[in-house]
Amino acid sequence: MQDMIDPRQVFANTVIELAKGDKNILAISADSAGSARLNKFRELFPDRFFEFGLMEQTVIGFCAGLALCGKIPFFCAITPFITMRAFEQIRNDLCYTFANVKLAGRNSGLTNARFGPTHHSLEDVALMRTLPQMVVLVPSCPVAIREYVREAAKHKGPVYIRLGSVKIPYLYKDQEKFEIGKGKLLQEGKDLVIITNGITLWYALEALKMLKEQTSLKVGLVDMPCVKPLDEELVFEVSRNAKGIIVVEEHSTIGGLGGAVSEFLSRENPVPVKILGVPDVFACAGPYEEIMDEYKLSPRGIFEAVKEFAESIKNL
Amino acid sequence: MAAELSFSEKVDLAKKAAHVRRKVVEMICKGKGGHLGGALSCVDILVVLYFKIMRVDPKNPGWEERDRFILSAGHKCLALYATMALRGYFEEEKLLSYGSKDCPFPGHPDRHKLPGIEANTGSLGHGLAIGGGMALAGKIDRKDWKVYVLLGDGEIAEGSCWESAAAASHHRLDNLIAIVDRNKLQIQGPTREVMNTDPLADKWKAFGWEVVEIDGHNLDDIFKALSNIPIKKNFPTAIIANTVKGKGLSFAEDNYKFHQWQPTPEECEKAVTEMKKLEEKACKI
Repeated sequence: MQDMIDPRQVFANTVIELAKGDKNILAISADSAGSARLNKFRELFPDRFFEFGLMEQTVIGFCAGLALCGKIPFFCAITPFITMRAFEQIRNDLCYTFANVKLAGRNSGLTNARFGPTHHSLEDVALMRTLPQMVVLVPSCPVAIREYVREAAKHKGPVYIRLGSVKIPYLYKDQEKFEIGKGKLLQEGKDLVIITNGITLWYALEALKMLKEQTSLKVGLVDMPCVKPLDEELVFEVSRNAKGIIVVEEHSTIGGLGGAVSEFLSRENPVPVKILGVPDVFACAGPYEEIMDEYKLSPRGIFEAVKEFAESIKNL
Repeated sequence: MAAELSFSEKVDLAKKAAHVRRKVVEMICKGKGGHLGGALSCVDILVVLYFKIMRVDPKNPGWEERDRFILSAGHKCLALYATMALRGYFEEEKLLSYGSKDCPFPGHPDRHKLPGIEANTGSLGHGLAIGGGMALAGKIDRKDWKVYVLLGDGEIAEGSCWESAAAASHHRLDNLIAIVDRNKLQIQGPTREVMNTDPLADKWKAFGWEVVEIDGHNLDDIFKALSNIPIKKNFPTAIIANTVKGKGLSFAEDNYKFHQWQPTPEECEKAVTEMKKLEEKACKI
């Protein structure tokens, strides 16, 4: 088993690998090269690294102009700033324009927990998901991040990749392949199915171990790293074979993966759905694990939430 | 020696500008409304750019070696559409489909609908960054094409314009030209009263740009300024073009209420007649 690794490092390593084979790939920074782990890129490709300081909205516009001239900019910055401050530029200059720009939100979700709500991002998936043309990726594991950065480079158009900053384990084998628009059924379950992505896949796997040891519930698991386009076929399939769906995500319960799954199921196969995420509040500040646990997004929290949800729908 | 227009070139450009102005008015009348004032104020600049300055091929609008033009103040697009038609990007008759569903001339430019449009502008404060990105791409690839961005003077209250100005000078984009169509009026009234951005030339200078201030209706002035770029190597150029909003249409000139215009049939008749006369006059020079 490989050591745990910072997702930003995987992102940066992959962008460097891609840049070696494609001279049009650029790395763009908004005073963020160190935190985005892109200093190595700057050393290797000084003519393809551009620093802009703190002007995220303008960087998006520059990225659009670069892309319209054949470049493939990878722009990584702190998630709330890259997705929210620059939202209209993303909408018009990237999505409406079909600009081939790759955005990476780093320190996403609650991984900046200690810094407080200005640095949390619990709305980014919801925001990015509303935009036509945008692909929204929330990979869970270093292999998935690497493969999705490669897929993003191949895809012609805007892509948003959500990255945390907490070290994560390798959950997949190195040769595992990931596709835009495809999720992965990791375990079948006739009582409930957990649909998750990002770091909570790791926690859900831990919760499943506890459920197996301590209950008789048959709980399935789906990794859904591509929130948009959603793998509707897979969601439909698992919803037909289980009594309910529980979506687990390090995001607001409004509009994220839970929103995407619920919108689809309410239309195609209405089954009970619970969304386990951060409720409609500005989250509290503190140590990451404690804050995640506060919102039941820890292995223990997921375990408890699954049991409660199973109990609430058992007579339906 | 400074570039100069010959007398016949000036006459030709003046005719073209008058024709574009007439087309703008006709489109608005046909489409039952549109942004008039700013379109008329930037016509002379567009005509000089498209007919004398920019290296473009209207039959091959995606030609990689072309100069790029971005209408950051996208609402002035009727002037751009009419100029492009005259330059040969498409048949002029098509202009009168303006206002109909799915026509290639929406109320703000859409590059998916009309080849030759470089950026989907409309929300103000976006164009200079997009143009800056294009100029940076040109520098990376050591190309000699230039990027021209036309901004409104009301638009530059948007902070993103000044972020872009800082970034352009930081990255030494001397292939980027910002033209401010300074007609001194915006939707609510005089720009100085709505949000004063003076002293404008000093601001651009402070952001590291070379600045030239011109009469934006004087064809010689426009041509000279645009022929002398970069003014200084490694520095982007800002051209502050003093113009009159609604230029050419007597009752709309210098009147902010004609920023957007939904004319009555009587107003249309009067306006079209006036614009035809203006064009006839230009043709008699």
